[in-house]
Amino acid sequence: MIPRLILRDRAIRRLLPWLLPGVLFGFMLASNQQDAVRHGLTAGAHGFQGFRYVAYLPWGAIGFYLLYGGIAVRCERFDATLPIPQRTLWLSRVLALILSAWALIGTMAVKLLLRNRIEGFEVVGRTQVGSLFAQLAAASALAVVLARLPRPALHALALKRGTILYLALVWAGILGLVFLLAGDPPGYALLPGVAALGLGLWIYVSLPASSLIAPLEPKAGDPPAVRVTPRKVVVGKPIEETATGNRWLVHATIWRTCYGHWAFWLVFALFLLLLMGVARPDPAGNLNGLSVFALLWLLLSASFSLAVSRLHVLDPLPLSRKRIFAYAVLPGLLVASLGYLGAMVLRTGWEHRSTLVDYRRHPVAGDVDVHVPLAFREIGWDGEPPPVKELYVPPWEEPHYAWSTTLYKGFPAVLYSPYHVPEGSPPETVAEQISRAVEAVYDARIPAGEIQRRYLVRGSDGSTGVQAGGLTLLEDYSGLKPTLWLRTAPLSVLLIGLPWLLYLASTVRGGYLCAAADRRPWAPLFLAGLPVLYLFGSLWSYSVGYTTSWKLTALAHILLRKLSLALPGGPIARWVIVVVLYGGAYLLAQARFERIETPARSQDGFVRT
Amino acid sequence: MTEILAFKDIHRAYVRGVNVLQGVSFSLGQGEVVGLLGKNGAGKTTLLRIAMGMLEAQRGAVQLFGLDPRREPLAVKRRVGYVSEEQILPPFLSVRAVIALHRQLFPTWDDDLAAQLSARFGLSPRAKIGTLSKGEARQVALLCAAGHRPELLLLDEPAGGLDPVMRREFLETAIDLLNEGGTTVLFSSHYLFDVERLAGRVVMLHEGRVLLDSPLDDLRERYALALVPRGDGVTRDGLLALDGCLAARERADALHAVFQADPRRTEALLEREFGITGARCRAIALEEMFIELMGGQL
Amino acid sequence: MLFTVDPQSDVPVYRQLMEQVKFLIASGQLEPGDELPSTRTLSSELGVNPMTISKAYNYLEKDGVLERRPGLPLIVKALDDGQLQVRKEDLLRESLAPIVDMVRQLGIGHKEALRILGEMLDDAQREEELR
Repeated sequence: MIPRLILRDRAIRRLLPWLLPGVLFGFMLASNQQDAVRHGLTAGAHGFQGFRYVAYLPWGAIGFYLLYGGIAVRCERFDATLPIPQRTLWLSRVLALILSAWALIGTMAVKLLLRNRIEGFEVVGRTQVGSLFAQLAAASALAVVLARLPRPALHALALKRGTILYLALVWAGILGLVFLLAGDPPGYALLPGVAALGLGLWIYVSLPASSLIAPLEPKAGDPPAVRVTPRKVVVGKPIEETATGNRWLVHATIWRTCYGHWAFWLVFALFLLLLMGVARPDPAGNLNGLSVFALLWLLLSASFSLAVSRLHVLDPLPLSRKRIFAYAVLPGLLVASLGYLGAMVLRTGWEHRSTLVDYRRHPVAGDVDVHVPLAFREIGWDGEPPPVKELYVPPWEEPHYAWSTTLYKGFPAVLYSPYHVPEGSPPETVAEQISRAVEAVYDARIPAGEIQRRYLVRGSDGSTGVQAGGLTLLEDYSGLKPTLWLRTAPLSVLLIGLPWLLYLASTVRGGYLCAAADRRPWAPLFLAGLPVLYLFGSLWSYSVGYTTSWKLTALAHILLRKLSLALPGGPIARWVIVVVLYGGAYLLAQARFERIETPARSQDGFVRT
Repeated sequence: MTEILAFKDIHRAYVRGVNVLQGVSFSLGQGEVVGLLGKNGAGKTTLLRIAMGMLEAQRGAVQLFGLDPRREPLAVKRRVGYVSEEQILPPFLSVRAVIALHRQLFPTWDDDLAAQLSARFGLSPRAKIGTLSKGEARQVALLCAAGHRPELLLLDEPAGGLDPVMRREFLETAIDLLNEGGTTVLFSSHYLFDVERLAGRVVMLHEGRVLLDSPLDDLRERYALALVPRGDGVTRDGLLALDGCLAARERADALHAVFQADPRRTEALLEREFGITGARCRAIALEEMFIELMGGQL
Repeated sequence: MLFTVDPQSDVPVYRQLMEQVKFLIASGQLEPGDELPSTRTLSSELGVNPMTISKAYNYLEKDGVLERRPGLPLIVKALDDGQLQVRKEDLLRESLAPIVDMVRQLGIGHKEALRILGEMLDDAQREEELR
């Protein structure tokens, strides 16, 4: 009986379509951290210590999925009318939820461990991954059981404020637990595991024979809205108030219709979570990686789909489609832009304080080199990085080819750093490269000789080293401000929404949104097709070792930089172009939207009507 | 005669101060078909859910076959068939799968009856419930509810929102099931035409109480609607004060009053009390009775 | 034979059925010994609760109109002519009762009413002879 109930359970039924995107989140964001660790790009957050900081990301994905899978639902109405013991129903629901969470965790773990295998070394130790995921597994069990604690006899907890607060506290509390215990031997997962078991058993045993649709005690309510009053003979009164009596009423109605569903706020919370997560100050600087834009595109699609699913409520009213379109599109764009810009601001602040140009030993590769942010690398499209000599020709040097790496297996393009200094270079070369790097990154001139004098020292074997105190450019030179972010900002902002708007204009057609009428649940995904394709494509490429995420990120950064620098006109002109392009795309999409048919109500789907 | 279903003084409120049911008591004997009537929000669904054990009454008790549905839910559910207005069948299961599920859970499942009903409804076994229309889904629900030959059928607005053809189908199916043998039925419905055909007895709920509990035939024979012209010092309160008057309403041209007496006696009564000779009294149909009683209490 | 019932009428369904059976017997369309449709068939056909049909049949049996045989359908009870005549008159009286009311309410005199009745009966007979 129980296995069959589990198979019918909504958490399991919804698992498959969510397994892939769910894993996407967990994997991508956790693996960002792996990259940062691997390339020694994260100051102070090495190895597992830092890894635990990202526990909130997979836990967030799990929490989101559990909510979607109906963590507050104890049994389905249909099952309650059948002669099935209440305990059986309860148990099957609990097991289904836990299994679905473990499925998510399992796939995340597998992906991470696969990364280890591909990279060829243990970026994050297996025991550590095991420990984190064991904790997450036990934590999921505990969370599911805790959600059954309030009023165990109820069919389902209504998702009102009190319930959501309780669930949020459970989520946050368990996150804290995971944070504390992860990293300790995996056996420590027994603690929440045992708690879950014990609590679950106690609830199981004390369950009443049958469940209730509504609690026994009536809740203290507002006085009833409708009172039965004796009918009076009413003479018709002319309507005296004018139609513009309450202008905000119309705004509020559209807003609440489109975004009143709690899922929307969760989606937006995810927005911010992701942006914060990727904006962690590290020079991998994933803010401009294509994956970020792909994710923003996905989330824009999600909010648009959610709003449009309510179209059948608004369409009969005398509201212009233009207005509804504005409500469906603008909030998403606004939040995406604000989030992104906010993250950019934070990043810029961080950048102002951190060493962007450095001469140090690479923690993994082992050689000493000049380090610059990814954006300032270069791409050799034909596979041949120009010899250092061609970039800069010091008279005493032999030509030496810059270190390069293939961008994507099978293609000739390579990624290289034009500021690379070969092992054993004399201080003059190093100083030259550092000077050039400073000029590129900070747009400031510091003569090579000065750099050599202040910071470099010749070692006994002829190699160059840094004097005690390090390459303290920022302290010694005031006015060193990185300028790239400002220049790339207009293009980045454009990338947030413009491709999506154009894609929206091309896919929003008479038939598109009617897919809901055929009850095809993947209709909204249609809008998200391209980014999903990209994300999966990139994931697959990582998995088989064709490329790595930082290489693709570097590619994006470099292209962005080159395009931004190539754009003509001053800053104002650039922003004007951005506004004009956005406006054009918006109007185009809006024109298409005006003509679509109202999607039919879907009776069962992500968004319950 | 053992009572199949008995409500005793049921009180239920969802929000404090707003009593949906305030002391509802009635019972069904074996083989009775009772129509539960009431305005929207009168508590019909609540009452049926209390009978199924899905809700608990704050005061009072309910018994099915002498058992408490909350203490012994399995024993009760095995003998009860339940159809609710909301579609609670899982949309992803096929018709065949749902029937198989019920076959497993109900030891008294009758395959022949199920096949008969299935053929009669014209259901395709492979169709997923989510793709069926409302009427077809309701038919599946009825099949599942009746297929195990329950001793009691609880139907919550079974024909709600269905087209007239479907409604007649439902009615005929219900009659056939009654003919099959001895099922007790409690159903709530707004379609009084169907209630008049199907029900032997009618219970009207109003403001949480049983306003009327009477065999349907009695309603025709022992109640009368009086249409009293205005004037002549006749007031609504005056009518209400008369012995046997259940409800009185003021209309534009006349006063409508329902009396618990046949039309002749009512005429005589009115003549005696108020000296009215122009009152028209006649037997009252169920729908009119409903409207007069539910509207007249204000 | 066809029965029709109107569930919305003022008259309860079982009573309508009873009257129809009595009428059919009195007018000769149902003869003594004829079988009546089973409760099941009739309830299905008319779309009413079988209990209603049972009730009607039970009352008819009590009134001596129908006869029950063990294991077999109900049949019309044999009547002698005297009983048949009484039946017919009873039916007529029932039908005439509202007409009597109407006559009184309209304030038409006895003789007037009888004259009108006579004229109508004569007309009906003439029409039938012409056919």
